[in-house]
Amino acid sequence: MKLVVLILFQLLLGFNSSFCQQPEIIRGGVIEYERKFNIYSLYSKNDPNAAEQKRMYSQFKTNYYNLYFSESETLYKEGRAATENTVFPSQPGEENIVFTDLKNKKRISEKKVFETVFTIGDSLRKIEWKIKEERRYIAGFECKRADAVIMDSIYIVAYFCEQIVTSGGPESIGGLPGMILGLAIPIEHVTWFATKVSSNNEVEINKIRTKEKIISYLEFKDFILSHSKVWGERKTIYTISCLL
Amino acid sequence: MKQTIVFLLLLGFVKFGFTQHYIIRGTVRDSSIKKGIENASVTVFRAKDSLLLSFTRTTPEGRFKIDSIFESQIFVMVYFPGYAEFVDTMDISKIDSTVSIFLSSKAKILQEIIVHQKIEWQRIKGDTIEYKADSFYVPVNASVEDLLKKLPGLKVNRLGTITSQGEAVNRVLVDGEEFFGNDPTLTTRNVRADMIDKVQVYDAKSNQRTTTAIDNGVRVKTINLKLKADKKDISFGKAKASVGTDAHYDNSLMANKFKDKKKLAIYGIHSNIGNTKLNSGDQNNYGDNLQLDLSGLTDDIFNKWNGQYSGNGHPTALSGGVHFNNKFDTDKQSINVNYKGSTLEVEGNKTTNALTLLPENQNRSLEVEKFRNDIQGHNINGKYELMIDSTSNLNVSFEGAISHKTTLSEYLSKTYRNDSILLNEGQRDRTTESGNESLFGNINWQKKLNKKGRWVSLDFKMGTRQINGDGYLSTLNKFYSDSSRQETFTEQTDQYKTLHYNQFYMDGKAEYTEPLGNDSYLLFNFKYTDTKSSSERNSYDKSSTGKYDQFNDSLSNNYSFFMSSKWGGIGYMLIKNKFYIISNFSLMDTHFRQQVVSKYENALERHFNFVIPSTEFSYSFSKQARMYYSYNGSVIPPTVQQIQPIVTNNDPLNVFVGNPLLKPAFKHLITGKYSNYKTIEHRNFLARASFGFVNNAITSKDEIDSLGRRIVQSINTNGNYNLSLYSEYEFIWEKPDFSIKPNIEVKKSKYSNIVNQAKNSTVRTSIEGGLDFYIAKDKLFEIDFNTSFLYVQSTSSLGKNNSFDFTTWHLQPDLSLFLPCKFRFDSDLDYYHRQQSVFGQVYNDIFIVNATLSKILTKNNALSIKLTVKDIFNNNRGIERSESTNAITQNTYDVIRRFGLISLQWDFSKSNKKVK
Repeated sequence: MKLVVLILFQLLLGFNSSFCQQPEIIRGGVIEYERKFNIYSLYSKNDPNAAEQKRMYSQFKTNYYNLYFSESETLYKEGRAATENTVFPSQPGEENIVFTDLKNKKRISEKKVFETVFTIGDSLRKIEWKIKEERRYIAGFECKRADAVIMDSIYIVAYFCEQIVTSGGPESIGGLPGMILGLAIPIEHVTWFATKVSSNNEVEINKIRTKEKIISYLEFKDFILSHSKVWGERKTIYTISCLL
Repeated sequence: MKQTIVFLLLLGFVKFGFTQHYIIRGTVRDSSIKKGIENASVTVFRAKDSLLLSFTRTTPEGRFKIDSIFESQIFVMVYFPGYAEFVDTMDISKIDSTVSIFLSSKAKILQEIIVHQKIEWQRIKGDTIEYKADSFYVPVNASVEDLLKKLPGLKVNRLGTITSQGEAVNRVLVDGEEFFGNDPTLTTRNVRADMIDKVQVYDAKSNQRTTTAIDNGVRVKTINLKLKADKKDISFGKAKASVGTDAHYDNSLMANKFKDKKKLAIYGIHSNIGNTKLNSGDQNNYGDNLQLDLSGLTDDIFNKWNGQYSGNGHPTALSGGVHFNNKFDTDKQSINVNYKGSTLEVEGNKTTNALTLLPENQNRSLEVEKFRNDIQGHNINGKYELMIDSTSNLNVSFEGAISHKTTLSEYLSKTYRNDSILLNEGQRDRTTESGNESLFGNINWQKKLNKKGRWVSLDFKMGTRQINGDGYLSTLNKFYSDSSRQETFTEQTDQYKTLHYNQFYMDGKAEYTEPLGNDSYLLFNFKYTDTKSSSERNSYDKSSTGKYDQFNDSLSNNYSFFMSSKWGGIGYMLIKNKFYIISNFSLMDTHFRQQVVSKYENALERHFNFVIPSTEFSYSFSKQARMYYSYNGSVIPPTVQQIQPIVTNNDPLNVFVGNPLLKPAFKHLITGKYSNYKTIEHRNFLARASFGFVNNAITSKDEIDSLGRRIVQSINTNGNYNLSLYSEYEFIWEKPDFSIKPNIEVKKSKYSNIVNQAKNSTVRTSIEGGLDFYIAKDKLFEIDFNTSFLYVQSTSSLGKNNSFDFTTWHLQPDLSLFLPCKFRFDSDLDYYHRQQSVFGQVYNDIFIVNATLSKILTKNNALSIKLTVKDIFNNNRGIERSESTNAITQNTYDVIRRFGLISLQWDFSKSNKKVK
């Protein structure tokens, strides 16, 4: 009986450490995000392929990304391999790498659009956030909700945690008083939620080394918009993905 | 050259546009150790739409600076793990503001192991505490009252009275509006807990509806229930039918329909188990809005019953009402209308034992009364509010009531001296029938003038009341002389009496406030009241014809009364962040006149005037700890009954004689209060003290003659005071859900009067205390245990055997058990212990247990069946003991005893909003 109690107690402690983080300020580390994209949303109801595709693939494509962060820099890139729907073709914008320099307010992203890889240099995106009352726990951290509209019409919902000092988040989304641990873009049917947060003040953030020419965001946008015409029905989704 | 450059630079600066740009700087510190907190997140939002403006982190010393804020209405949010989040609005007036922010550390909250975690349930916004309703578990079909019981910091007693931070919450609003005449329990017991999104608790500014009104320092503790968005269009309610042993029944219906800003509710009750009104606060109020009357109606055969059932006797009640309120014209206008009709019948028996102390000896009396009373009435009242524009508003309210009352009483009494010598015995039979009609109206207008803080308000009230009644009084009293047992004399009456009374009153008030500088104000007010009333009482004896047609001149009278008062006052108010002070000086001038109708001479006229000061001071040490002091003077004018009473013969054992030279009394009251409410750590402490003394207190001169009759005259005495000290300390834990509150009150008072020409001073000391505790476990049980004890010691300076004391205990545990298969068990116990009294061992230990077993029958939780037994041990007795300066009284009376009840209840709730 005593053994059982002891084991239960340990379990309790174990749960405790992951469910209830010791309150502390985190200045650096690595966050793993699980990005889930609703594949079924790509198929409109009338699409004859829809039924068959749905049989082949389960609803979500899951990818993992890591965000390495220090007090003033973040690097977002692909993490471990996806576990589900691995054969589903990769979508534009899925293999993004984003380096953000908060001190100098600059950002460099590497985006793969079908076959081509683009390197884009840019200043930090200015987002007008509105804070909401909702609270949520993500990866054991208490997060507040804030909503915003980016690119004039895209509504996004972010859950950020002030325990983490860095004002960052997945892709190029940031500008909140803490780290965004959850992000949802309803129109894109995609969400990012942090699954693991590890604290490490000595984290190494590798800047993006590039041989390619760095183009500006505006140039990239023009390029995407001109090419998106051939993407058919899915062009909106792909466009947004790229421009994120 | 340099100057030119500087000038050009400056120009450039100016050219950059005149958008005002603000800086906020300050410190963030731990509220208990006062140390700066590093890396706290300080964020600034635009107030109107929560737009994030700017944010920063604090330095190692806890300092921060945020500049380039372009909005002046903002709110600031400060976060640091392990501390309660801080949120406060700011209306920036300076370009560079400095704030000091203190964070309170949270007690560590252990997470539940189950995956669905508890989401942050409490936020403190400035002085408002906001609870998220869904974070608290309540049983199925729970009412708002059940939800409030679970909120840490709020307490609800058996009557439904809510207390927060030591003060009673008298106002419960639904989405900012009053519901059903502003009676808290009507809202809390009727509205369902699952309709509520958030519960906000705050101190609202007194009754000023608009934000245009200035802060006059008066605060009303208010709870605002915010409905969930999908519950704003909903029909809900409950219906209950019960039948029981000994022909007991209890049926009630309450149905509501809310649609956006419209709220409609109807209710009905038919019961003979004591359920006479919808809730404890709802009085069978028929025109009590009118001013105190002056005609001495207090000692009158028509005024022996107040129309209420308060535990004495067996009641049968039928009542119903309707409520409607709505806001329209983009919330500029609102109306609130209520109608109520009811009939109540009460019958019972009452026995009174009294012991009166006299200089030489003691008198004991025994009285037995059998009564049957009933009342029917209707009451309609309404309120209309109009926001004329952003600076002024108008309120109009009215009330009309009509009632009809009949009383019947048979009464026997005996009085002994020193337990052995019979002084008198008597009997008295009385029947009356009376009707009461009243109408009341009030108009109030307020306007904010051009300068900030300048404000004017006008108020006018008018009311009229009429009472007509008739009845019969037949008495037979025998008085015995001391020495022999022979009757000394006998008094007998057999009379028919009539009463016609009417009253008209009006009251006009004007107030003006002028700001002096930033935080202080000068107040002026003027009030005028005028009351006219007349009462005609006629008595007729039975003549030889056998009819009551012999007019009895000495017991008939026809008086009119006039009273007019003028009040003028000037006050000063200083309101700062941490403290406020309000001081007032009023001059009061009153005339009154009592005269026999149509006979101007021999009128009794009195005129008096007073200066009445008052001061109030409050200081907040921090957001949690506050101190408050006040001094108030008030005038207690003598009533007509005390100056020149109307001669009545209802009770030959108690005769009132007037005192035309009686002066008004002036009462000085000093109060102090210190409170410390650690809302996050849940340790609440409150201490209150008050001391009052009265100059020229109106007390009495009693002459008890050898026949045992008491002749009473009011007189002025000095040296009367009362002192009370109260303290309570509350501890609340969240896991487990447990709270405990010990409290104690010590009182001491002195009262002087004259008995049989000997000066009598009575000093009464009492200690009252208790321990209240509460423990609950979600879905399993809830226990609410209140205990109290009272020790009273009273000493009078008259004769020997002049001191007595007694102790009483009262334990009240309430238990609810949530059982499987949708069963539920509720029980409440009352244990009273009274020390042996001078009247012998009678009902000193009473143990009353009520229990209900209920089961929900249907899948949608709407229908349930209940089995109730009240007073399982058949122990209930009506007993009341009281002591006054030289007398101890014990009343025993009929109460409803053990019975069983089986009920069927239907709770319904249907959201009408279509789900998109």
